[in-house]
Amino acid sequence: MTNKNQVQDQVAKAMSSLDGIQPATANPHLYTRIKAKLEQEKSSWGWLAAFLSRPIVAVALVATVILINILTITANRSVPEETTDQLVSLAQDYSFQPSNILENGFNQP
Amino acid sequence: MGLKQAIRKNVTDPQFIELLRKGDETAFHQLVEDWKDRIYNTALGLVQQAEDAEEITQDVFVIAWKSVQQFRGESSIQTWLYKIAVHQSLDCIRRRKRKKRFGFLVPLLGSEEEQEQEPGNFLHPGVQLEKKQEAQVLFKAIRKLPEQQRVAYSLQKIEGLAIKEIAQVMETTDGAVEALLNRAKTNLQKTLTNYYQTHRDD
Repeated sequence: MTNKNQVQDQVAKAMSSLDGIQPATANPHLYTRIKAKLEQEKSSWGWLAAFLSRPIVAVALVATVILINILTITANRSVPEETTDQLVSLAQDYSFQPSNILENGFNQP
Repeated sequence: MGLKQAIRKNVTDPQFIELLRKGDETAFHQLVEDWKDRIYNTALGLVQQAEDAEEITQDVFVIAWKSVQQFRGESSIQTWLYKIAVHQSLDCIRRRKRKKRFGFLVPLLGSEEEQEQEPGNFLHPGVQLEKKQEAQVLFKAIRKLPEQQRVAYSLQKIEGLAIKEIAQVMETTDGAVEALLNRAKTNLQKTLTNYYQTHRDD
């Protein structure tokens, strides 16, 4: 019983330990640091934004994207059918299809 | 009228807000000087680490400066700054938890980035000397509270905000804040009881 009271007393003391707390004070040079942070962000992002917004850079970027798209489409179209047919016949010859593996019971111990 | 009084009068003034919107650096300097201690105190109470609290305080004013155009004056400057401070502090706490959770990956991935540690025995510098030991135990228990309870409890006990002000910062009702505070106190009492039962000599 005494122990229980002791614990309750300690809990009450801890719960009231923040009564009368004084506010913490920030670094007196905080403003200088904030200004430095703002300047730093301004210089790095500002440089990037200025570089990207140059007409020649913007046009070059758009042209590159379009070119990549055209190349991808052309490359997909120009895959010879023969190659595809050869692959299919090779897969059939060697039973590469997953369904065949299951049917043959290769997955069983 | 002293400079501090003039600043306090100014920060609630619509003209002052207009100056901030226009990018007036003197007005921004005034805002920082007038609010830095309260924002730092709030962040420190929540994250319980001086370095993080200072970083958060800087970020709060950087965000405020960048987003002042969106500030419509529907809430007070106080509420606006406290909201940013709470958001940034919770972000920091979540980041810290994530790093702790995935800390085992750091040696595997070979990252040299310093692993963030949970604050040890944090003691707020404003705690009275004779209450130091109990306050350390209480701060440890506060860290175990769910986010919303932790915010409401810290804003009330450490920053000394009224229930109405906490409700505005947390964008909820006075009743909801009261409920959060009651649950926080119950949870803290449970945690502290467990702690003192296992540490009887403390």
